[in-house]
Amino acid sequence: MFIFGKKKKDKDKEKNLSKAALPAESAYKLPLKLEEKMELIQPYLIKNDDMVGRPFCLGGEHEIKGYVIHLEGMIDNISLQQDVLRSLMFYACGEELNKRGTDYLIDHIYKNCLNVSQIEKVYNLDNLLQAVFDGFVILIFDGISEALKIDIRKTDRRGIEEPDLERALRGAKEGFVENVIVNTALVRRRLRDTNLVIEKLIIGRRTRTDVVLMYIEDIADPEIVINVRDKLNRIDMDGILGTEYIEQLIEDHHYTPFPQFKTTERPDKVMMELLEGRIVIMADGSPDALIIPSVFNSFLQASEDYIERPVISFYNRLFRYLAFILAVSLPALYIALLSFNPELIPVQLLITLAQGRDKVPFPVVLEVMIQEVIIQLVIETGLRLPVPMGQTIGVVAGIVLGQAAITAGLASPAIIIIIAVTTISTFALPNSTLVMASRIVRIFMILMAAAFGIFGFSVGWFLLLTHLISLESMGVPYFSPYAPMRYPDLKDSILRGFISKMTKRPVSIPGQNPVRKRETDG
Amino acid sequence: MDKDRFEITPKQLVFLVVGSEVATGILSLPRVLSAEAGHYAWLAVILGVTVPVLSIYFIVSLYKDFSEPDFIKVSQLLFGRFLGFVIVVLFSAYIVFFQSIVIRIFAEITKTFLLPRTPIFVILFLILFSVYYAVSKGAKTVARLNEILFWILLVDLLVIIILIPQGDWTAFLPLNELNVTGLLKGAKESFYSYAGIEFLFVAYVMVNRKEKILKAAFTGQLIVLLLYLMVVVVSLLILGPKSLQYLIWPVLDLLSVRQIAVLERLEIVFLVFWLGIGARPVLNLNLASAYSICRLLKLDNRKYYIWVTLLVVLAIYIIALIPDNLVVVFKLADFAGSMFLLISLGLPVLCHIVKFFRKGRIGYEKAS
Repeated sequence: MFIFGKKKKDKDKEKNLSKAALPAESAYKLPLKLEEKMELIQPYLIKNDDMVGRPFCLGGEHEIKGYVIHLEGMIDNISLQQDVLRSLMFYACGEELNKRGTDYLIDHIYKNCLNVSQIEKVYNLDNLLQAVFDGFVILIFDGISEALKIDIRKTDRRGIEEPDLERALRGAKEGFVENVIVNTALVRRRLRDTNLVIEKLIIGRRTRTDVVLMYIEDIADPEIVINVRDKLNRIDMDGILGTEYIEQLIEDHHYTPFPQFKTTERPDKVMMELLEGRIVIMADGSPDALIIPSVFNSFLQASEDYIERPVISFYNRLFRYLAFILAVSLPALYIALLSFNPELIPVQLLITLAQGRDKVPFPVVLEVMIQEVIIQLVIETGLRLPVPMGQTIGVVAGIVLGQAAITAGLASPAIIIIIAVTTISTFALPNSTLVMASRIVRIFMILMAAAFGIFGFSVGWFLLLTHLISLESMGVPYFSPYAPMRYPDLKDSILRGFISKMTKRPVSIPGQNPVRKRETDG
Repeated sequence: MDKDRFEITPKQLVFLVVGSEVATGILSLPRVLSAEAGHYAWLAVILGVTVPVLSIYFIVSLYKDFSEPDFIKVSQLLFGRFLGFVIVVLFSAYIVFFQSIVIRIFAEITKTFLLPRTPIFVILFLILFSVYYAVSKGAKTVARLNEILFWILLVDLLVIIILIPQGDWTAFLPLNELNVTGLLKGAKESFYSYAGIEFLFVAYVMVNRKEKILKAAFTGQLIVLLLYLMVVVVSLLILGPKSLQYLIWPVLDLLSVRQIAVLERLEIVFLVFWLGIGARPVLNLNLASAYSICRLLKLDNRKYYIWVTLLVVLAIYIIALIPDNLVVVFKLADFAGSMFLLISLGLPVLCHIVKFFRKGRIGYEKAS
């Protein structure tokens, strides 16, 4: 793991060190002779056993010596043998070329001999070594200063599958993989607009992770694009793990449990977000695309909302909002009503609740907290266990613990139902970070309600609302379209309007081109 | 930063005006008005609205001619550096005093209805902590909070509309028995319920489209008037002007009149949003005073705003704790009411007079 909590001083030091290591070489051209070049590269070949190379000669009578270097397992071996080495050894004629001079030679090889599509010249040692470690194949020749860098990289990747976290009943079943090139292709294939811009950046001084910034040039707000690009360029860190790191490095508010950027593994969703004027960041090594900016509302929307019929989507969204409210406040409300303001509960219900509780030796708060802790432990356990074992835990926790707790007089039946409903509601939320956030907020609410009853509950919600309203995601108010009210966007909030009526892009997201669909058709 | 955190839209001003005026006063309004005006309490509400309407008009027409319509700048231009300074300080002190009373009444109601065994200083602390948290985030957050609370509380208050069919319309009769002095006294009482409009003094500079301020403020005022009217009318319908006198907070009692299936009592809906109702004006006016003090002392908003806010909140906390009981609080509230008249009507009129006499001698006026 990287030590990411490093002090700034250390960072600067490290930066200076890495700069100081290769000052002389990087400034100069590579030497002409192959032996001299090999001398420079030799230390790295000795240290790294996965860095391999072989000498070869160009075809013909006058042999020109060459050397090929690459990393094992990072390239396509067959392509190296057939497209690179074979053509050089058999079809590049050394003697004729010798007469025309070395300048002609490198151009000739570059243009005529190698039938691979991506090839580039390299002029200094620094770039040469970096290219090797980036996974390129490097060719060096005797008597020619320049080296050639060939891209026949091949990495093993998993196949394109449906993402586990974002399953949809209807709609596309493709999901992103860990390879950013595959991912950009997945998006490009769906969005063939010439204005779709894909910028590549390299982030992480040591990991040199490929990061991609995607936006549609004539829709996305240029200010936000510049802002995001700036923030990305300002990341100066030894390594990043993927979009998850970027998310934390570019967000504005650190002291909040709520996610400020939405992530998705679905290319179709990314496409829709791009069309609404958002910016997408993807990084090599993680299948999550980061959507900037995101509002709270979008965390409660799922991609099939737009596929299903509007009424059905509205119904589903309504339940997701209800789930959030229940997940955050149900146990707190129970405590507040039962231990502070029982007069607000209907009498019949109160009698039933009291009868269930008469054998329980704890105050309501403690009872709730015990169950809450048990559930948290069960969730934590279930997350890490393999599926067959997870089922056992489910049975043990669900049936045995629940039933036994009631029989043993440690919990009332009502509290089991409350906690169960709360837990189910928690997992009805479509975003995993929001699930975690709601768990933390719930504890806060429980404590507030336990201390001050329904008034504490009211204070808790007030603070939660204030907190949500004060957040911003890349300058966009997090709680819009509710506060500030963006009336046109309310048609796609809890409601989901008809697609034929959604003629304008959302105003919550700043952009350039408001019209999405002409009124006349559809 | 000023532009970032302290800019509001005219639409938000509508909600800010509503939020500054409607508070716990609405709970006792029917009793206070019908004590003087009897079954003409609804007329008193309408007569009372003249004060905030005049106030809005004076404030807007005062600032209109200035290129920098900032409360501090304008008062220093009009009254000179020193007197201007004193006026702003007095204004902030008035806000602190007034809000202490509002908060104290709010805490007392909370104590009576929800937390009878909790000491008052704990309740006050809870309320003011929430207020501090919201205000420290800046005007934008406060404005947005007002916006969303308005819709939530509108539902909350409109709940009592379902009582109308049960009402007794003869409560408004007889029409010819109009007690003029009582009505005027009632109107005077209803002035006080519109306290909070002085918020516009400070908020004017924050609004980004100045030409729409007048309309926005009037819209907000109209909404307040309608809300008050509704509450007073429904209270009269259900409880009648006589029995209103026996209830300290008749609106809360109204809520428990009708039984609702499942929920059984409507109060729960009301009480869940309780903090939002009581704390809203304090939120807005606290913002106004902290902002004024920051500007007055020329402190950098980025650094000192949250500390000034903290100081203001602490001052409110301490002053709110001083009165011994509710009787003293209500006496102080009466005093604060007359202060309100002085500030919201007297100050703008004074400004206008000074402006009239010093016309041409003040530098920063707009070239019209």
